[in-house]
Amino acid sequence: MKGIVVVPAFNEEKRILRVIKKIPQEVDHHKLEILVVNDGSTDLTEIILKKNKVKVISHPVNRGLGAALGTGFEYARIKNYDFLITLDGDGQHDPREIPKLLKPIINKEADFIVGTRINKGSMPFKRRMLTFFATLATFVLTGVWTADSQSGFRIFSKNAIKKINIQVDKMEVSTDFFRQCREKGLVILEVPIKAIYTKYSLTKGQNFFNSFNIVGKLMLQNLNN
Amino acid sequence: MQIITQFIAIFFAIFALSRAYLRFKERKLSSFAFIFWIFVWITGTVAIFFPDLTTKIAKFVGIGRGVDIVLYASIIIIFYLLFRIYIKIEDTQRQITQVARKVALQKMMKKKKPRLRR
Repeated sequence: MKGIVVVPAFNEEKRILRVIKKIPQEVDHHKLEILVVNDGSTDLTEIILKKNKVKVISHPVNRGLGAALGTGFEYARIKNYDFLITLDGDGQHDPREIPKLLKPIINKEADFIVGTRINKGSMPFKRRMLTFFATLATFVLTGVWTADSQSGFRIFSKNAIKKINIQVDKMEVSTDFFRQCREKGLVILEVPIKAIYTKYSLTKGQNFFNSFNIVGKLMLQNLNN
Repeated sequence: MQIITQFIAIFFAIFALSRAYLRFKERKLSSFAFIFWIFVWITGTVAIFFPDLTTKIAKFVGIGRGVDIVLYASIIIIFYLLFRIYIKIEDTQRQITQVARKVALQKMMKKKKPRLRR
């Protein structure tokens, strides 16, 4: 089996190489390729990646997390990968945990693995509240209860790559994955992971007010569907 | 004073209708949307010239004053139009993403397959 690690990146010149270098090239004899989706960065992200011969797809303009992941999915479909891993480009996830998350996919036990952050104690209160609110919204909108709906550390089986059609551009994609998995009969499994919180990673991601916007968009999308 | 208000209203309705007609002629407005706008502006003009008519309709549907029913209907129409605009913007955003994705993927695939020299 061959898999692809999709790392969405927007203005990540400071961290992206450090994240890439930690990703193993092989897990239990399964080849891993890395693809950075540079989402219209205005800093040196693309130049740094190309200089270091990292495979990169660059959006001409910034389109958001959902759009970047959508491009990764499209590439995985074209190239016929067997599984797809998503990791945040800010260094929040430890790629050494990939084998643990990949096991259920290899054993065909699940289609969508979510790395749920267990060390929430080290998470700032504001971020913890945000995660709880998002998890609650995920339950209301999708009917799936998960410990951490906003985790960016995920693995998708070939079946999931084929069936999931990302139609949202921004952060709401994290919740939308759960909705699509439930609707398309894909098996969801949560695997605990440790998140690495640094000052840098905390400046990235969602803010409190943005989360209201996300919920609003998902509700309107439900109406529109 | 009433005549001035009616004159301004009819002038505005004719102007709005002419804009809608031009958009329809340029095929930038669907037949459904064109009929919708004709209905909206003609209804508005009739309501301004015959205010008693709105009171009769209001009483018929159980609302006290004619002005109230116009207000309620306007709010409903505004909400509906806002929703439609929101959906249109979302569609446009989605299309921009599709274009950005296509451009990005094509650029990458082109680099991988260099042209053969003759």
